[in-house]
Amino acid sequence: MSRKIRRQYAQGECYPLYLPINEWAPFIIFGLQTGSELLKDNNTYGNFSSPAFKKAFAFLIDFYHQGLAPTGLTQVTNIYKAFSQGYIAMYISGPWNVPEFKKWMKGDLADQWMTAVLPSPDGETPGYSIAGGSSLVMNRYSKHKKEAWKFIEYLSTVSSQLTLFKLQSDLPAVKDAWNDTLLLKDPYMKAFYNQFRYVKSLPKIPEWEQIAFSKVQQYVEYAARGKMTVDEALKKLDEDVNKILEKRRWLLKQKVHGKD
Amino acid sequence: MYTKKTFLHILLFISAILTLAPFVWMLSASFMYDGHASVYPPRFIPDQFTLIQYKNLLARLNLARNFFNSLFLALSVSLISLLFNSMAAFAFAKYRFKWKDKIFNTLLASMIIPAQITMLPLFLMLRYMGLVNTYFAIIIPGMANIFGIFLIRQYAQSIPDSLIEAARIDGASEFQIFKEIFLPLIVPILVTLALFTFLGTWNDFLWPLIVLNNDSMYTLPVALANLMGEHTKDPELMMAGSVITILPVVFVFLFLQRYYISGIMLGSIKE
Amino acid sequence: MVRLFTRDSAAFVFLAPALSAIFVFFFIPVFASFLIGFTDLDIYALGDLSKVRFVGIENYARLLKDPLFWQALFNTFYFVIVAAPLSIAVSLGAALALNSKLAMFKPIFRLTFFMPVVTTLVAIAIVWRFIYHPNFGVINYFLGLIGLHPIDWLGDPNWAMPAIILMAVWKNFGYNMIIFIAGLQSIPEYLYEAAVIEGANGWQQFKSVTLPMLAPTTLFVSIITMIGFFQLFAEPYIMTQGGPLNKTLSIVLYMYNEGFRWWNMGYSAAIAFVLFFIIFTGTIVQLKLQNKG
Repeated sequence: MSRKIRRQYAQGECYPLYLPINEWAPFIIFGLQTGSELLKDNNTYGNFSSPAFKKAFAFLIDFYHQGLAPTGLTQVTNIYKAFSQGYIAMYISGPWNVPEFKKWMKGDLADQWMTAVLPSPDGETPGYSIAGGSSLVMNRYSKHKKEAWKFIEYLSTVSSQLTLFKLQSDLPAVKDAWNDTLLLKDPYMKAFYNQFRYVKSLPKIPEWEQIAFSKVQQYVEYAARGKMTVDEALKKLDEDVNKILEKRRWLLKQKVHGKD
Repeated sequence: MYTKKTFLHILLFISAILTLAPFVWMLSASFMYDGHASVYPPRFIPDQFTLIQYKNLLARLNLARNFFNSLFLALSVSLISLLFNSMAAFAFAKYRFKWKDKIFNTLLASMIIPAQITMLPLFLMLRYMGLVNTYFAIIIPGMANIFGIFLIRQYAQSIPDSLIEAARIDGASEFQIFKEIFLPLIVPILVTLALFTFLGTWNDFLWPLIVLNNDSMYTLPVALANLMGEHTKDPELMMAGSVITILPVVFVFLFLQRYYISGIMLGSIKE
Repeated sequence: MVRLFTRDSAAFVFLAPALSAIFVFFFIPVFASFLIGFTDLDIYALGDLSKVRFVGIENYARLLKDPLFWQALFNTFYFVIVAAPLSIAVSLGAALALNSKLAMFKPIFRLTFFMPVVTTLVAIAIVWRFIYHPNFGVINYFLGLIGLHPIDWLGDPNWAMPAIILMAVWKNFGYNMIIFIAGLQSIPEYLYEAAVIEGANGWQQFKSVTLPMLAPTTLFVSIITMIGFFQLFAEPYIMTQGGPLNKTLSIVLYMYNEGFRWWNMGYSAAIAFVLFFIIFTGTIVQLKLQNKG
């Protein structure tokens, strides 16, 4: 499809897909879609060289190599403007961006764009995405457990969730809130609602931030700019990730020994 | 001779224009509506003048609060360090005591240690004391500094010892000598050092970035850097933020430049 | 004797606040940092100190094998080796021009050239980020006027560091210019007069009088410039985040990322000490070279 878009706009600089090299999410999402386990052995080793992840990674990197996605970051300082001017045609993002896109897609353009669920490798939509957002947590050592719980309850009411949605397009986590007309009436939210049932979660370890933001992004860029082949990049990525997870392996070993 | 003079001035004028151009563009873009600075060819004069960016920054994005943080911290650090540094410099310049030279030389030599080395333990210390994300996190490490002591001592060497001896004979206490004779004599270098410290604290970035971690505590540079993340697409807004950050230091400098420049010279005197 | 004792204790009282502050908040952290460099203090250990391991020189050994660290080292040296001489040369040029008897409006020019020095680096880096914009940036506009192709200054792996260097030179040359002006003014006039009598032209005067007489000033200027430039941080943090392809990742930026973004504090402390070692060696080498020369 991207190639089709490309052919339609053969002249001038423009790209079917915007896949910023400083965003790791699309790569992880597509990796999850091909069924890869990102980390293996109880999250103690990187598993990015697995055939499943390699397939997804190579698929996306190919967009850069075929000129279907820009490798630079400096050209697109304003993605909304770039989108409205036709510099880019697709962008993988979340509902928080919808209001801003609405602001830029004015007049003739207003009904010329839509949100969609992610594609999947076998063509059956929707494909998996990652469960984003944040969680409400109560600290075990909190001195105000009662109040904290009350606050969590308040934030979880349908009306609070809708207020949050209105303020900053945060999707409600409470299912009942989705019955509200506010959400049902918004055609741009439909895709996100459908996507909601097809999400996987990320490894829940403190090292994940560093792995994603620092390492995945670094090797995406190296591969995208052709400094490394996909195989090299993923091999190095695993090496780096294994180094990061060394402490975790040690801690888990200690735990096992501690129980003995 | 005449052509040489013309050539020199053409060169100077071109250099001056190049030096000022970024400021001119910054100022101009800060008075534009959204999107009006992202044009080709670039505008050096706003097409439609507006203060909307400043209004947005100060009212909606609460940059006034960050302005206050910066001002308060720069003033507190300057005042406290001025007191501590001048006391220490007084001791080094006007007393003889055991290990004086050893201590002073150790201090001088350690000026080569980059501050970055201390940042991790300092952060952990402040965290243990519960002071991370408070004003103290900036003030405490800034209370005294070696360069300040060195600068004041350098200046104070020229004060004749006889003046101090005379006061002692008159029965003045050591503290009175410090307050009533020493301090008044070193006012120029105190102004200089205050200026250095004020500008240094106002402009500092790495340390506040590490120890301050929410919008209401940020100093201007940290707030600005944080704003940049979300507003890469809004040069007009970011330029207004830069103007707000830069303007106070430019004013302070313009009024006290004589002191600043003499301070650089004194600081560069070789031991 | 009594008198001496009270004066000694007075000195102690005056010294105490500053010295104890410096001792507790500078010397102890330096020492602690050195120790942390031999541990694997990290995010797990922050919550539970029993999870710290003593790892000996492991962190330093890892640094030697870390391609990203070598990249940061290379970038920082690239920056220092190009930007420091360039900035010193511009400073000297400006100082010579402003010290010339022919120049008018000296205070105004001096003020202008000095202005970038006092302004906030973060704000300046933000301004220059837009000035370097590939499509709307002022610099590419002027390049276009003289018929050159636009450059993707901060987006091109080969141009990002030169772009940062250019900005750093612009920002800093005023400082050294002031020191050079002071140095030039301290050169006695009769040396030039003697040179003129011997028939030296302008360039020969510069080479045989100005430069040798400025040597101590130049040494001082190069040492402080080098020390400052090795601590490159805010420019890449704001303008490039170390990219593209890590070509602008500096030692301090790497140290910051490891220590304060990912909480690998042992590793970060080791990086900080390598920076110290480099600055220390650099200073010694410059002093030695000067003594020989």
